Amino acid sequence: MVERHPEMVKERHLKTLDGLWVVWGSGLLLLVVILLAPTVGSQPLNWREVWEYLHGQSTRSGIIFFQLRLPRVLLAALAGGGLAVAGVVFQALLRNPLATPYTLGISAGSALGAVLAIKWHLSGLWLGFSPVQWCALGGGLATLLLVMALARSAAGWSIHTLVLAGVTMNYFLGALILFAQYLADFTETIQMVRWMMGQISTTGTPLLMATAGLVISVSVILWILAKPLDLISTSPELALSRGVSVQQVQWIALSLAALVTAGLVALCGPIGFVGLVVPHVLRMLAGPAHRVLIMAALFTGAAFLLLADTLARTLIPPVDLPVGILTALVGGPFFLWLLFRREQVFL
Amino acid sequence: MIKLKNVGYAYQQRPALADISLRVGEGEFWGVLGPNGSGKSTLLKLLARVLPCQQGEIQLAGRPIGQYRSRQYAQLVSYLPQENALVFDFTVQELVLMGRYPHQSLMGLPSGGDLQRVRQAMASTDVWGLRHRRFSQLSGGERQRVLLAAALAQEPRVLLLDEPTRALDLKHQLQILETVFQQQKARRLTVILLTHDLNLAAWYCSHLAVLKNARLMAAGPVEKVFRVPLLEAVFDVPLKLSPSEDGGGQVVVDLSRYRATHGGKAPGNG
Repeated sequence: MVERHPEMVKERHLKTLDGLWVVWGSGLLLLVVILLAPTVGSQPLNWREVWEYLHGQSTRSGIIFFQLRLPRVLLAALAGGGLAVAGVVFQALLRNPLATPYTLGISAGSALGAVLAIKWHLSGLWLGFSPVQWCALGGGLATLLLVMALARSAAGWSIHTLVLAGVTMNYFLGALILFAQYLADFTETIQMVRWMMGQISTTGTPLLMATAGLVISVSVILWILAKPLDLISTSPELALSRGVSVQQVQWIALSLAALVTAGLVALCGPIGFVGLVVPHVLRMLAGPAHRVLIMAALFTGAAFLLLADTLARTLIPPVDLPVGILTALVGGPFFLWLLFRREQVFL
Repeated sequence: MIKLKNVGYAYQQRPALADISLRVGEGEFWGVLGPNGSGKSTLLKLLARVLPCQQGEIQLAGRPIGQYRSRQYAQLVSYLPQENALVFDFTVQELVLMGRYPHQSLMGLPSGGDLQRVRQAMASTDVWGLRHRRFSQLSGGERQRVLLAAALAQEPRVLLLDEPTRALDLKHQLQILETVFQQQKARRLTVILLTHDLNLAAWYCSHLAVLKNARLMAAGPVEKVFRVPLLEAVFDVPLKLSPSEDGGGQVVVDLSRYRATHGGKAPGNG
């Protein structure tokens, strides 16, 4: 019979969900930001007109609120949440706290697709998506498949080769993007550079619903995989010996995180920083357990990108700044402040 | 409990294990000895199913280990790898709770039974007081005890330990091995322990297996295997038996013979 430690009498229950307050806190933050963001903008709103729009009248304020701001607010929230969740998962799978959703070259592949679509002046819409978006999605997914194939063929399959292949593809595709830009005229170059800065734009309901479906369903599946992800992020060998089907979980999680990343990059361009900083900050606050981390990342990433996008469209009215610039401008100093504030930093 | 039949493994044509046949009975405490690169860790990884069996067959409880499902196998066999550095800083209780993974559903919270077993595992390895600490805040000895607690919380019938006392001072080495020994007795565990400490292995283990150059040189009860000539041949250093106060003996390096053959000088002789 095992002896009972004296402290066990005092504390009979182990706390199994540390950091749950971070989930509630970030959820509340997101709610507040979502409610406030559409009310802010360069054009003042007449709330009576907004109310009348709900009753079928086509009012100016109603159009601004429901057709311009609200879809953009929701898209920003979905994109931020999706990128942060993808960041958490990439960091766990690659066992590297410096990994981002773009480490494996997805954003570079998407950028190349978008740049080529701009260069070749592809036009028209298919299923509500523009050719630039389709090419960006295709480029991102094709790059991921190529990186996975490269990593697989080189002496089995390993995280190490996957990261190396991804970094190499980033450089290679970066060179191709520069080459395409070199061949482009002035207008095309401006379009390409603006796309690569990352921008949330107003979007239609079908596109918004598709994005919501993708981000939420992928986040839920990844949340279900939280326990195996915990084990894999400690050690794949340990995970195997605990009964985790490591390769299966790795492939499912990697494919889903990559799909969300490629989809969001296709819609909004390669918005940086969210997928790196949000997981870091949350790990500092709530620890590395994925059950809490994935939910908190969904809410915090959403609130963060939404705040950044609200700033982007209100900071210098009527200029609509690319949000990719704002995420780094706002997030960078905040992250540094957190790092210096903490005596012990666990990256 | 475990049966290896002509087991072999090679890393890109470089053999790491060749033609290993061994029977490990239930409740036995095996120590695996051998110089660096002799194939000890490969043997343990094969048993833990971290590496696939390339040649021969490994059976657990009469069934080839490849026939078990992942969770089913993890309910029987627990493995403590050599590497204990974590990238992400989990708390002690989170890590020990992970040991319950094979007994839990994918989404469910830990049951009362899970928590009870985790508490027991933490108490038996004396890490209960550390449960809220983060892994990075622990000493080497504490880390090993935490990982051992997680392995015990898994409630295995076979415990595979890859040099759990590596880089620990003598007191902490003894602490770890004593805990393993007590648990092995209390739970009638089958233990396979890799170690470089010949004397501790002889002291705690009931059986020894000795590997050299990917081959099994000897295997059996300690009293049959723990022989100076065999160990000298395996480790390629002159050894001698040094009598201890309790009437037993310890194997130590025969330094004078070593220096005589290698032309070294005694320390302090200039």
